[in-house]
Amino acid sequence: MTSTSNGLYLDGLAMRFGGVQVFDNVTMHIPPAQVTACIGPNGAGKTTLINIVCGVFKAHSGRVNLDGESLAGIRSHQTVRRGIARTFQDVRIFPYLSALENVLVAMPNQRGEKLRHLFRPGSGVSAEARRHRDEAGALLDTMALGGAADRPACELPFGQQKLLSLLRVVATGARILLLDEPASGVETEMIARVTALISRLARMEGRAALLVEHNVEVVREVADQVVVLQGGGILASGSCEQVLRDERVITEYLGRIYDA
Amino acid sequence: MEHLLYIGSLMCVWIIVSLAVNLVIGYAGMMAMGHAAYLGVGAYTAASLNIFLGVDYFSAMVIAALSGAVVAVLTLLPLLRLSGFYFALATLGLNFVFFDLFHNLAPRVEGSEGLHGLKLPALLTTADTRFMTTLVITAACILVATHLVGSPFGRLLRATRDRPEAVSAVGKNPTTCQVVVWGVSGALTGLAGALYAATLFYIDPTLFTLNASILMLVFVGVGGLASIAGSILGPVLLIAFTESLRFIGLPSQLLGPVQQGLYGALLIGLMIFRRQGLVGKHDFHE
Repeated sequence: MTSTSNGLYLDGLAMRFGGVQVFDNVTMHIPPAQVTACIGPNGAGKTTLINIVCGVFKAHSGRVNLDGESLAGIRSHQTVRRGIARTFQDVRIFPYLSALENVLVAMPNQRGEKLRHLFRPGSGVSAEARRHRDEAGALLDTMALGGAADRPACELPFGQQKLLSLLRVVATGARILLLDEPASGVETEMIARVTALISRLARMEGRAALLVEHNVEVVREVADQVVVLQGGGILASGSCEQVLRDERVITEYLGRIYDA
Repeated sequence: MEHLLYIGSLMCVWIIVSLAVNLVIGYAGMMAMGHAAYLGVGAYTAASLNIFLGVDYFSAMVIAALSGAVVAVLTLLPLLRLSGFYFALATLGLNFVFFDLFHNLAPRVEGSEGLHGLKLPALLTTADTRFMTTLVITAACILVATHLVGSPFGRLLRATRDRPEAVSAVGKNPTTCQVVVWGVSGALTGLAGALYAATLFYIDPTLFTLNASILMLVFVGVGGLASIAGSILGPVLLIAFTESLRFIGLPSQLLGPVQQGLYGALLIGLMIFRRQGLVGKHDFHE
């Protein structure tokens, strides 16, 4: 059992919007080098969990800890500096930037983004920019997007925009990735690339991933553990095989998906 | 010839202003409608330092640019809580606040509403040297702006314009980015204000009203948003167009109305047929 002082630990989170209780007492551990899938019906609060971790929403009660340290009061952009980055369900790429630029924006510690370096001769901004372009290009190639590097992102098909948003979060260098439905809207033949990338990030690079996903096949493919959110709390949690065979999960959630 | 050089100097001043306004509107997506205030701050700072304290005009220009940046950032900070239309409306208010400040508090030379009697250095004294000096400073501003928008900072600006929440999600602070570019824009506008005073020899509060801010919008709207070339083309073409009307031999009482009518028709035509301006990469709706 991995210690909860490693990785991301959500402890007794409760959230309500006005009089509507989204969930209560949700406790979840996202350990390093593993993929933790969070599944459940629409409205269960999966994206809300991501928004709480990223400082977009403040939980009604409960704590969020990263490597044993509280993330209370942290602002959205500061979460990445602490090592947590997220994708959005509705992609939110930068539409008028090229695919390459979308990835470049996400790269951390760029001296060229600071005026004090930008206008100082010999600050190495150009060399650094070239290196970043090479790295971003290589990252695009991993998703077969190299050919679209110079196209404005808004001109790419939705599936490719989704892949681009996934690469953008990878480019941040964050060790905890919060992936909000990375496979939805992606062409079937590209889904294998998505799962391969997520697996590689966890197994080879030791990053932790919280995967919010409706596609159970994707979950089965990449998840080490699964948490099912339903009815304002956790319906089941445990290893992927164990949870996906759980009678309650099949009756309450998976059955409906397969029936559909 | 002297008049042409004067027009050339004016074009240069408005090119710098258009660059400044385009940085915030075109590249950062912040609808700035009150930059006349910063133009006035620059002009009054440089002219006052020069006339009353005897500061060398080039040093006064540097201080004017710094003043423009400081005033721009200070006036932006309370507006950061607003966005979109409300932000634009609040910046519009700056015109009226600063007009009143210039009108009631700014120094003036006895017997006039404004300032005159600048002690200009040789490089700004005659029409030809003034034009050349203004041109060189404008070229430097164009280089700075080009370097800025082509850099990782410029990329971050465009990302902030399109999706500030996604910029936060990749660990960059969009607000910092907006404050920095607004400051740079204020500095350029302040510098342009100092050059404007040196070109006109006389400034008063009526030069820095809503009309001037609208003129800036028109220049970048016609030239093209998010485009350095557009920031140059807009003022050059429109000032040339306006000035050329003087030579078609119309009676002087008709000149003003005809000029304004044609100007309006040109703008309406552009808004219908080419919303992004002549060479723009973005438009007001996006």
